[in-house]
Amino acid sequence: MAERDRNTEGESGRDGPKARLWLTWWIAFFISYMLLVGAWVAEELIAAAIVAAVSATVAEVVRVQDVRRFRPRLRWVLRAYRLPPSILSDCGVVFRALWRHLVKHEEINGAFRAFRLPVGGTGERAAARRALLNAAISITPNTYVVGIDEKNEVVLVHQLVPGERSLAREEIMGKL
Amino acid sequence: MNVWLIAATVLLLSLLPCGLVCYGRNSSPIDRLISFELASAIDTLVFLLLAQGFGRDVYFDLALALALLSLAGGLVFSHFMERWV
Amino acid sequence: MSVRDIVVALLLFGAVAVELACALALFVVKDSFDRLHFLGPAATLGPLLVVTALVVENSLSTNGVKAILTGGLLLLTGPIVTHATARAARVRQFGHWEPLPFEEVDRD
Repeated sequence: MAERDRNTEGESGRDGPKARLWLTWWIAFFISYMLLVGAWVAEELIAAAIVAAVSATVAEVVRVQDVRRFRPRLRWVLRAYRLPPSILSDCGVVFRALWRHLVKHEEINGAFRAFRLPVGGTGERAAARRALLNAAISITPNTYVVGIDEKNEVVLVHQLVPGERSLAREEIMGKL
Repeated sequence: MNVWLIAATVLLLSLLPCGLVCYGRNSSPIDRLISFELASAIDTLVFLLLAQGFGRDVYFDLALALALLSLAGGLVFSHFMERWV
Repeated sequence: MSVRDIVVALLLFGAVAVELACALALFVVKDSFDRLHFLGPAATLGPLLVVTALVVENSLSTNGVKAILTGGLLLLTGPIVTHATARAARVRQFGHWEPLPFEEVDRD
């Protein structure tokens, strides 16, 4: 998920496809409503259409107001398939640490690690990259992101069971 | 009594350590926030299990609402802890 | 007891064990930053096991879908809350969250 190219483009100006975006929101909300209700009858379909229209309008109003836009690339999101094995292995790591703490009275010595990563940029792609990077690292139990410094391009994480210091970046980013 | 209600009851026991940390004299505000967030996640699962155990579909909606509101609550408290409290 | 009932029971046993372990960790681990790590399994592995048990029981009925949505929400919001709490804790401790010199792995 750490891209080499730095996206410094500004706001992309997407006034053209507003109707398409509104329709996308409407479809998503309509499907969500019908999934939650589970009764495919005329009354619920009409209610779903009305609720979806109101929700899509509110979503678009919020999206237009938002100062910091968020536009991830699809391939970044698709890389989420790599996360489940990392989550499971990290659960093993943290529970092993807990077991050793309880049974063998070994101290748990979590540590902060800060490493450089190309996370700069001011555009909506750059913001999306930082957000997804944060989520992908923090979802694995052994590591979470404390902060991302976009100006100095440094990521600060905390690890419950820290590995070799010099290999921290490879260990964390290798899972993604 | 079914396996779902048994699981929900046992899961409720895990709220005890959360409460002890929350009300502990040596706990910092951040520790209390962490225990609150863990308790929220546990409560959401308890609602799911109770919904299945009692056969009440409406409890599933409660669990969904609690999952959403836990996010909002956690973020609001973190925000205040960072700047003002 | 059918195979399905046994599978559901095992999944629920696993979920309860995970959540109990995370709650116990909250009590025995003293450092706040170390404690935060145990929100991870509580918001990922625990819900995954419960939701799987519910889907095994209900298949993809309305209740199964709601359970999946709830589990998905816990899974997605867990890291957000963990990060926000960690940042707040760091700012409270140091006045800022920025890394200290000895924490940088690139520094010799």
